[in-house]
Amino acid sequence: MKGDPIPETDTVSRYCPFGRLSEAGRPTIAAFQMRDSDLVGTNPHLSVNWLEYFRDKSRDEQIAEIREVFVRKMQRVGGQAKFALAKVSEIHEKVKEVGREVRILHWPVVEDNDDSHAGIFDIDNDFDVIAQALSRMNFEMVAAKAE
Amino acid sequence: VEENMPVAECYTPTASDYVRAQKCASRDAITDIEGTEREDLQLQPEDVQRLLKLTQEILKFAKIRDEFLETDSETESAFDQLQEIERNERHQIVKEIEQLPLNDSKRISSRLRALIENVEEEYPEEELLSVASMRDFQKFLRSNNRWVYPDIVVSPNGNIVIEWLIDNKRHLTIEFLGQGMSKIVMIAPDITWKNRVSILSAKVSVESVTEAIKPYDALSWVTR
Repeated sequence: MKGDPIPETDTVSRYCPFGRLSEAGRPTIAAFQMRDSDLVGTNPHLSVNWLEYFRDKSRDEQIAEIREVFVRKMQRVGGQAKFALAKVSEIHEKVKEVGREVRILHWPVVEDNDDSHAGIFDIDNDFDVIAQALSRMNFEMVAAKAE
Repeated sequence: VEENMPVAECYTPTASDYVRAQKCASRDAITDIEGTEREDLQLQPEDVQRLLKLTQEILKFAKIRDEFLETDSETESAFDQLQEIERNERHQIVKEIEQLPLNDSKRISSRLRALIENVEEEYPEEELLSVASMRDFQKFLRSNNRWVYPDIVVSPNGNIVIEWLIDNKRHLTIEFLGQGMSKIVMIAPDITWKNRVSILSAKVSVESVTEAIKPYDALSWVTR
């Protein structure tokens, strides 16, 4: 249901275009920043996708589902873009290291037909410090575009 | 004003508006926009002059707006020209950076070229690489010729972001915001308690970045 917390043991993915990845392919702070215009308004959040939303599917199948969502949503999924995958518990832990707390909630976007969409909330206070902390995580990286 | 609706069609001051305003000026009568006499209002001649001027301004704006709507193709070509100018400027900055007396000037310019190319292709709906941000980055590079090669990326606002991630306790990112300003986010060992970390987030001028990070000994890990 919209607004439910994602279980700690589950995994979320963040879309990282080429321009926000380091040359070594690691997400930088820019991968977790938002446009100034997205930080205003109600419920500003960092968009992620919840892999386990696709129940009874293998990890590869879950990633394939999310790839499809992005093909549908975006004009163009970059050939060098990646998904950064991390456990919810690890995100909480990393953000706590810099003295902040976030909530990771299921937040489907009906207009994009993106049911697995989730959000990292409570980021508007000290947003850059949180974005930088997230960029120090050890992510599992997978190509955003199917080969 | 509804989208694409000529302003003049929404409201064009007419001759009677002027007559009404003139009457107000001579204090013969004050009427509101519906023509009702308003004895309760007391306008001074200078107020009326301001109203007349405002009415003329509205009319002028209406004409400009209507001309704008009639010449869509010309406007489009003006935007194209502007984009072309910015594109050339970006390439010019990259060339200038390539000529800087830095160990990594070629590597930096090559990275910038790759970013420019990919930003245009990968997310056309977002801000392109900001020329003002690139100028500030160039200014920053000029300030010291001993920078360790940083990771160079683009923020969602189209700004250049550079970062040095040494380990979990030493991480510096600088976003060049344009207009000579930059945003620093840093985690570094605390000055007093070496087993603790300090977390900083600040906006400073490009010229002040070095001074801002110096107390945390960050220069030792971002310069050779």
